[in-house]
This record gives sequence, structure tokens and C-alpha cells, in this order.
Amino acid sequence: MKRPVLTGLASLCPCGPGMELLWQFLASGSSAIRGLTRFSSVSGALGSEITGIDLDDIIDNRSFRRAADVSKYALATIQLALRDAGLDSAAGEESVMVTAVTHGAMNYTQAYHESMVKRGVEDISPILFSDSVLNAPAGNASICYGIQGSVHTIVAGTAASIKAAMMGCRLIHEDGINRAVIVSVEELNELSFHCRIKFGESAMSEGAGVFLIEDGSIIKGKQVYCQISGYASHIDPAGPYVSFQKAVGKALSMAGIEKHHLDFALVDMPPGMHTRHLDGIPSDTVSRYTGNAFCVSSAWNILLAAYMIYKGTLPGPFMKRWEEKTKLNTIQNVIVCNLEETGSAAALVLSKQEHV
Amino acid sequence: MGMITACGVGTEDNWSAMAAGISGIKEIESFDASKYRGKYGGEVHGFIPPAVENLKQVRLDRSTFMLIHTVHQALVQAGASDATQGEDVLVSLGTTLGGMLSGQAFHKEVIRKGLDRARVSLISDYLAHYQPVNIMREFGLRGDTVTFSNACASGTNAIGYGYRCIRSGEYDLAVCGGYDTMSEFTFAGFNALMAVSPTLCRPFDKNRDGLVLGEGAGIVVLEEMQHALDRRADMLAEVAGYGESADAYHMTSPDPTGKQASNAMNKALMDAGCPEIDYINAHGTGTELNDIMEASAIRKSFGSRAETIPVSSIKPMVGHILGGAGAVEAIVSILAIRNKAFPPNLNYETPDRECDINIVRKVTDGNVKTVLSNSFGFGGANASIILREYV
Repeated sequence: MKRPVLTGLASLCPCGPGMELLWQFLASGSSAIRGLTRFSSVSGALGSEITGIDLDDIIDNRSFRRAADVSKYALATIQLALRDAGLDSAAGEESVMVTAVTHGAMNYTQAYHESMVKRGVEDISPILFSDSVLNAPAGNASICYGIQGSVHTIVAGTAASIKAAMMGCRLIHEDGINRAVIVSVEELNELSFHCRIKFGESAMSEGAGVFLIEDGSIIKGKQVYCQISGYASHIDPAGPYVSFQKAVGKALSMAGIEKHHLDFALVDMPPGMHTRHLDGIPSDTVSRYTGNAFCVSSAWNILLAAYMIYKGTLPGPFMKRWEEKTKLNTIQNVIVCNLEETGSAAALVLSKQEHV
Repeated sequence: MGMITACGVGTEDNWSAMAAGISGIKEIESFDASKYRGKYGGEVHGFIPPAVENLKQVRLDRSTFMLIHTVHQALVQAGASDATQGEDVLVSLGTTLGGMLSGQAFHKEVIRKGLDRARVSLISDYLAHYQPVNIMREFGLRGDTVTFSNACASGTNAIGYGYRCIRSGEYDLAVCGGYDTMSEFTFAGFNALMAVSPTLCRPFDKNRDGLVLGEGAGIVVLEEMQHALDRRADMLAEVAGYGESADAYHMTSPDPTGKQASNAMNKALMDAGCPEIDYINAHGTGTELNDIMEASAIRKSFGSRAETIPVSSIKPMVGHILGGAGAVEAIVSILAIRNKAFPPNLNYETPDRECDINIVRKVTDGNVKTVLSNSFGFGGANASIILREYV
């Protein structure tokens, strides 16, 4: 029986690249949300942006220096995740990649439109088109890292990362695949920022989250953070809270546990909606400290959940929400779940690996 | 099944046009194409957006209207409107650009009127994950949605995913397919890449000089066989196999060896139990590099059989529908099985030694039982699906 486990984690967020920086940032209890410097047209905008990081220092392959930020974020973070998993390469037909995006390369899309309208069609740079398509980060990453099993881009809101993880698990279960590289990536863009603020978002963020899923039944002697024990996504005409309840219920059922077995929940909800149906399970979310990075927010939550289980502890501010401190070092199950403004919900249960 | 293309609205209109060798490609009317290298496209004319019953949004993209229409067609043909109300249904769709007509309008308003005066309502149906959610809402479905954006392989990926979910027992019913609309954004992009033909789309012809874009949608209702038998559904065909791979070669050019494209075909063949293939519905874009690569990949997968298996691309008739191409072509593959005929590869006149495969020049009757349909996209995404006569 194949068993999907997480073997490599990497985060790229406004606090810096790598899991330790994310952990230290969350442990410090500080917020990365401040006045944005990138958009002159959106006055007083709050959010967190990636600055001062030379991604070309991380990405070994120099062929992608003209790629959109969103592609560079993906490339850099994949490299960190491969290193974390002790892999020199993910090249070949036995690796697949599933990339989650919400908006994609909106800055290139915007630049392309401006070029088309203001300067005319003769002046359009082809790369502004080819790198603005939604699967450009996945395409560039598969080329950069030689991934040939299959390469997918899943488009959704915060649920996209969980849906991508679900697809990775399915490919491992059913398609003879040994490794799935799950990538979530977003970049800040003034137009989407402007619209999201109108829709009630208070702060936005950007970055990437990458995790490697491998078949735990065959890997030997590797670092394993945790296993994926359950997952589900659901949308229901009865309303968003029913969607959420069903997604959580299905994921728990697949994991073979009850709600009271959960030690912590990392939850993203749309503005104005509240966590329900978790029966008082302590909860928090990375996006509270970074702003909403859409699909990447849930990827950061998945990374944090894996790190919590692996370390057996929680970052300080999260600890305050965890009422039963005596359980320290016994974190067994963490659920990552979310509800999108579309009414779609998704849930992923990560559990301590018992048979390494 | 439900489909909309430049050849018509519905499977009957489409097959009638294709069987008569009639192309829907005309001069572009939805925007001024005079400044571009190519001026032709497969636009859908005469499509009346359906009345919306349950969606409450003020503004919907043309892509959503096309999807509502084709999903309705497919559910009616499947007699599945009631069945979808009582159980979880997967809606799996593929697209390259989602609601790009809305997105394009928003971007233009921002440029011309400024950020504060651009209508935010245009955004609500721009993002590609909103269209399947719209379908769920309009048809009162419960279950799950997934949006694939794997460029021109998206539609085939979406059907392949639905097939896998049904086979694994997760769902008994899945509404799957793909769509994309004609937009100047896309047209200008392919024009900048010098991929658009200034003349005609001529897949596999020695004088081919590029693709012609199209628009449309294709939807199939996939159902677990026993589930369909239990409700006495009319089964149109069987999905027999599916395979996918990635070139990892170049963002806009295929790997000229066709190794991974062949690998996707081989995976689909293995998945289907290595059946005899009676017809290959090719991706066949009419670009120099795609067609050489695809012919090479077919030869790799089929060896000497590649000389005899009939191959055609329907893109000279409907254009390249991008994320919708694979879905529309899967439906045409099923229509070929049901009508026992090979659709023609229009405009094929001069054989190319580098595309040495058996191209179908005119509609030909034949005992079509099993069809392989290929889709290859930007970023090196490859997908192949095998459709078989249901007996």
C-alpha cells in the first residue's frame, strides 16, 4: 500500500527563503504586514512583499533570468525543497509536478496589455505572452528541473494547494509515480490588489511554498516530516459552511480519525466568515502574519503543519492558542483547511509518520 | 456530449459540417485583425447566450455562457439531469485563459480610464476557477471542481482526470471538458510568437505556415459503467485509456524528437490494454515544429503501423481552441466512432516527408472502433486519451 509522506519542504515568503526563516518569523510573533512600496497607484496599501532577495542567487540555472517573478519564485523554492529532501535532481519520468496558482503572472499580463494598447501589436515581446499564461511557472519549472512524469497547473483560490496535494497523492497511488513536487506560487499585482481590497481583503502577500510527496512505503533512510493521511475538497449548493463541514468530515474519515484527535487546525477563511465545525480545536493561520497570498497561504499552512509535527512543537504565538500544553512533543494530527469566496472548501490532514 | 465550435452549436451541426468538409474558419470579426500577420479564426457565430437561472452574478464571461450551454446539452443527452442532483459530481474543466474576454476588458479599462474607474465586476468571471464554480451553481450540483490550465492539453487532462476519479471509485458521475474564447490578447500573443498562419491551417502539409485560432467548448458526461447501466443510460463510448507526460524542453517549442509525446501515447495504450487503434485524431496545429514532432511521436509509438493508421486534425475546420481543443477533439473522436467515418484533414495538399503518416484528405467511411486523440501544449504538456466503441 502506497503511503504519501512529505520529504522536502521550502517556503519563500516576505520574511525570507527557507523553512527556518518562516518558523523563526512566526515564533517571533511579529507581523510582516506593512505599507507596500511596490504600487504607487494604490495609496496606503498594506501587505507584505518579497524584497531584498536575489532569486538568481538561489536558482542555479541562468536561463530563466527574464522569467516573470511568479516563475522565479517557483524555481527558487523548488530548488530549496529539493535540497531539503537531499535530492540533487527531480529529473525524469518518475517525478510529477502539480502547481497551484490563483492569479498567475498578472504583472506580465498587465505589461502585455499595456504594450498592446499603448505601443501597438508590433512591439509586443513574445515572452510577455508565453510567460503570462497560467502554466508558465509549471512549464519553466519542469524545464529547469527536467520533470517529465507529468506537469499540471491547478487554478483555484486558497483551496488550490490542497487540490494540488490531492492530485499528487492520487498520481502516487494510481500512476506508478514515486515523487510529486507540489508547488504553490503567487505574485503581488496592483490590479488584483486593487480589486481584492474592494472585495474586503485587508492585506495581501506573495511568495511560494513547495513540498515533496514521496511514497513512504518504499523510501528508506530519508528525512520524513509527516504523512498525508486524509484529504478532500467539496462545494455544496447548501452553502459555504456545509462545503467546509463536508470537506473536513471527508478528510477526517479518510484519515481514520475523529475531530478530537486533531491537535491543531490551520484555517483560512474569506473576509467576514468564521471558523466553524472545528469544535474548539485550537487554530491559527500563517496569513494572519503575512497577509493573504491566496493559494500560497494554504501552502504555507501545510508547510507549517508538517514542521509542527516534525518538531513536536508550535511557534510561540500559536502555542498560546494551544490550550493543552502538556501535550507538547505529542503532536499527532494537524488539519489544514480553507474556505474560498467561491464557496469551495478543502481539507488536508497531516499526521505523524509512525513507521519510518 | 455538448459542443460549440466555429462549425456549429451541438454535436449534430458539428458532425454535419465536418462530414461535408466544411470549415468554420473565416476572417476575424470580433476585433480588428487587419494589423496582424493572420486574419482568420474559428469564431462561433449565431450562438445565443442561454438564459441563466441560478447564477446571481451581474456579469458573466462568454466562456461561462458557452459552458452553461454545452453542459446543458451534455446532461440532456446523458439523461443525467436528475442523477446529478442526488449525488456528488465532479466538474473537471480545462482552459488556457479562463474568462479572458472579461480580463481583457478590465485591463483595457484600467489603461484608458484609470484603476479607480475600471469596473471591478469584470474581474468576477475572469479567473479560471470561477467558471466550474458557475457550472456547479447554475446546475445546482454538489461535489468538487478542478480547473486545469495546462495550455492546449488542458481539455484532455480534464477528461483524463475525470476518468481516473471514476475508475478509482471516488465519483460515479463527472462533467468534464474544456473551453476557451477568441480574444485579441491570445491572438496578439500567438502573432508575436509568429505562430499564426497568414493563410490557412494546413496540418502536416509541406507548405504549412502556422495555426489558426478558434473558440468553443466541449463537454462530456463521464459515468461509471454500472451506474449508467442501472439508470439505463445510452452509452456513447467508453474511455479506454489515458496517458500524460511532460517534455521539460522549451516553453513554446515541442521537443523535436517527440519522445515524451510518444510516451504519453504509450501510457494511454498501456492503460487501455494495447488495443488496435483505428484512427488518430491528431493535435495537428499546422505549425512547422508541432507537426514534425507529432508525426515522429506517432511513428515511435506505432512503428510500421504508423504508415496505415488514418490520422487527421480537425483544426482546419474549427481552429485551435487551446484549452478546449482536447475536449472538442475527444467528442469528434466519439462522433467518428458512432458515424463510422474518419473526419478530414482539410487543406492537406502537399505531403511532407518529415510528416510521413497516413493523413485523411477527405471524409472516408471506415469501421472506426477505437480512437487515440492527442493534445500537446505550451510548457511541454502532453496528453493522450483513447476512446472506444461501447459494446
